[in-house]
Amino acid sequence: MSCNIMIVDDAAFMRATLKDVITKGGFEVVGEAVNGKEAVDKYKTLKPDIVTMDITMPEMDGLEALKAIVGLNADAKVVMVSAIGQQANVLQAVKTGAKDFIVKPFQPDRIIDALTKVAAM
Amino acid sequence: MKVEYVNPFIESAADVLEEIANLKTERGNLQLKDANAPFRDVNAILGVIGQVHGQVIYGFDEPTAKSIVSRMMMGAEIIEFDEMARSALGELGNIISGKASVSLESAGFPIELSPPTLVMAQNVRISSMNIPMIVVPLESECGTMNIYVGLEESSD
Repeated sequence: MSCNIMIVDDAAFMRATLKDVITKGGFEVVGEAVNGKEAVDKYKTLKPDIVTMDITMPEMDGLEALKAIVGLNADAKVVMVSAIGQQANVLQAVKTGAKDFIVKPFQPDRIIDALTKVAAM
Repeated sequence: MKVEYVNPFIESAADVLEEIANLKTERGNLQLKDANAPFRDVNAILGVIGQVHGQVIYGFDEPTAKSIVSRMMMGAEIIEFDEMARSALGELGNIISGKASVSLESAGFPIELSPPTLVMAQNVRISSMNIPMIVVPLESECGTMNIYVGLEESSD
């Protein structure tokens, strides 16, 4: 089964790191976005199977983008990947519809396990 | 300025550097920063708001910053600070502060962080206004990284 991923993070370094991990894990990266607003726009055109979403970003943050994407598609699969693992953020993300929450720094296996699990949902 | 605000950043920095740059560090002595002394050549600045507020700054000299970023990027040689290298350094500040924010939250001080700003200049002075800063050096084979923490309790 092919599974297309869109990476959302404002840091070029983190997009490159995630792309490397995700590609090596056998998934395909169909697009990248540098803030929440671009993520929502690209979600409409790229229709990725799964989105990895940072939280702290300029323009529109990841929690707002998550809400907008779930508003577009109630079955959207969004995995949060953020340095801010405070309880309030995790709870809000999960309540809004995030399928998983990965706290940076992460081990590559943690990303692949989450994507594999979410892809099967 | 309480030491209990500083420790989470120092502990988090040591953990994160070991995890993402495979770098062991040793903590130097904690000092009050002289308000008139310049910062280092490369500084990642994050604003803090919430139960405590102020700034946290991660400062490096240029060779140290390049060498840490190189280790974060699987040993890639860093000749100049291009977008990738700058974002790696910003992300380092982000991840260290994010991890520290979880410890601060558990200690009863929930905070929010701004995205990092990178300031690269020699003899730069950055004013934390009236909040005194504590500086702690972290020594490693890459050189010294200074962690400046200027936080005070919000009066609401």
